[in-house]
Amino acid sequence: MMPLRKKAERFAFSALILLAFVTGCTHGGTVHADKEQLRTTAMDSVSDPGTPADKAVAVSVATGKEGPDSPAGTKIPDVKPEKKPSETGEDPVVSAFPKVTEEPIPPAETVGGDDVDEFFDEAADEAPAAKVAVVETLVPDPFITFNRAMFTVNDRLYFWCLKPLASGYKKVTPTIVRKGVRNFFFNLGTPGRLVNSLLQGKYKGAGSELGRFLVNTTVGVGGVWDPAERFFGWKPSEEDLGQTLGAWNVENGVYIVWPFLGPSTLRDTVGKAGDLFLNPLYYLSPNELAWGLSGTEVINDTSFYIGDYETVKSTYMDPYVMLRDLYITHRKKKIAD
Amino acid sequence: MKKTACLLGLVLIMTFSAVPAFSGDEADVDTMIKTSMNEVLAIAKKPGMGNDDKRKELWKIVMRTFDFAKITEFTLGQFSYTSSAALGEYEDRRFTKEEQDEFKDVFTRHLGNTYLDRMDFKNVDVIIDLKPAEILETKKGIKRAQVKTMINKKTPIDYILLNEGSGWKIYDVKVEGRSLVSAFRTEYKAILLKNKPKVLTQMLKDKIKQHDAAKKKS
Repeated sequence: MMPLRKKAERFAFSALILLAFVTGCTHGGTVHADKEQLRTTAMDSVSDPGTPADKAVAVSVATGKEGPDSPAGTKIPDVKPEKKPSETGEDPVVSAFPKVTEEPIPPAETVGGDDVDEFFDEAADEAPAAKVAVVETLVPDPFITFNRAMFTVNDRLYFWCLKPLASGYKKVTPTIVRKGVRNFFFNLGTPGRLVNSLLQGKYKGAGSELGRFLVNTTVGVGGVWDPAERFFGWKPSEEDLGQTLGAWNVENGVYIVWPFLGPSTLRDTVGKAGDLFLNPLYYLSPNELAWGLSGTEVINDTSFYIGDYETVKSTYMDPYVMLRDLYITHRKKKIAD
Repeated sequence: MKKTACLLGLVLIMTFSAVPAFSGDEADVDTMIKTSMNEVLAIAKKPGMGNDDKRKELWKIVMRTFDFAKITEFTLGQFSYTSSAALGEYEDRRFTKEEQDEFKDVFTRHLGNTYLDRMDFKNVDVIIDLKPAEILETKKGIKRAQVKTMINKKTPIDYILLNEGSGWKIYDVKVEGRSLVSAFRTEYKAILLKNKPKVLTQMLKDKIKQHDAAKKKS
């Protein structure tokens, strides 16, 4: 039985939804501030295993419509599409949302439309009208009907189960404890990160992972504390098998949304399956113990990011598409790092 | 002690920096970004100030610092009334000036709701590393610049600015290389291929209504 576990590559993009200029400041502190002055306790100084963007909402979601108990409460109006002769039928799952013609961007190109340079380019004004009806996507999504359905399933799971549990847990658990729990589970993920760092030839990162594991497991009391970064500046090397395959020039393949696990691609799914064997929780017995620990990890992680997913849903008309693009962009960046 | 010194520095910067008068080179862009950031920080940390009041004050800075007309224009892309791109059979999806003005107001409010209303003023400790401004290639006679930042040494956030003669303003933000304007543009394009401009505006209005209702409820 496979333990249910949250994977590190769920792109919640709380970072994106922060209008960076303002949020960078208000979530944050001092421009060019001394790191030490911002960190007051030993536990606070424990490095975050990942950015909010890395950690994300434990269940990623997708639907054009909000769940009934979603605080965002956003619902796309039942717009009757004004069809053009060239258009065919509607996606049955998202009939309320306009369907578009999607065209994957050739891999050689940079992330499509990622800047607005074209608006300063005279030539762009002369682009042929035939291109108008094409909306570029970052990854082929031939299973969009299935994916959107799974997105809806995950959405319900988040609002009906995970969020209430994580909110309750957050209320009764001090932040310092939650950080310790997060660090403990992150420390357990060392074998996967170490092996994948080696597979990618990132020997410095592998050394850092090994050193972190030794120091944090001993001095850091089983990984609950992170003295390796605090005192030695050893940062984690956040590699996984999906990134390793990407580094070996394996393309994403198709986009897939898995129930419970959220967004992925064919390549990353293979990677996740491989990483599973490097996770100590996989070998725990009995299975109930593994499930219990994995559930704790998911709930604990989610407690740090409550509200991020809601913001995505309230910001964008079609969060499925947005999360898909963000996931792909994020993975691309991780592979390039 | 360091904290006190830093805060004092912020106060001094706020006191001696008159933000609005920017004019075009790297130093001006740097000053504009740093000053505005420090102003934001000062407001966010202001003791005894309610969250609603903080947001109101922050909104004033945002309105002064961001060029929402340009953000709207670039978000609508080829559907903007200012674009001369051919739309073929989708020509009726191009915004008129009046429609775009209305859309700009609604879109601006939507952005404000999204980002300002959700800010957490309790967590104000983050490290922001600002890199010196870079002047980008000038096109169509418009000066452009970019300022790269790194939040907590992990998350890169870049600000893209332009100056059409009245000072530097931000027209796009990139988080981890992903453009905010581009994200909205892709989504709105998909909607506009199926609907006329007024429908998109109405969808945003509905989002705002729902946001206001949720806010009232909470």
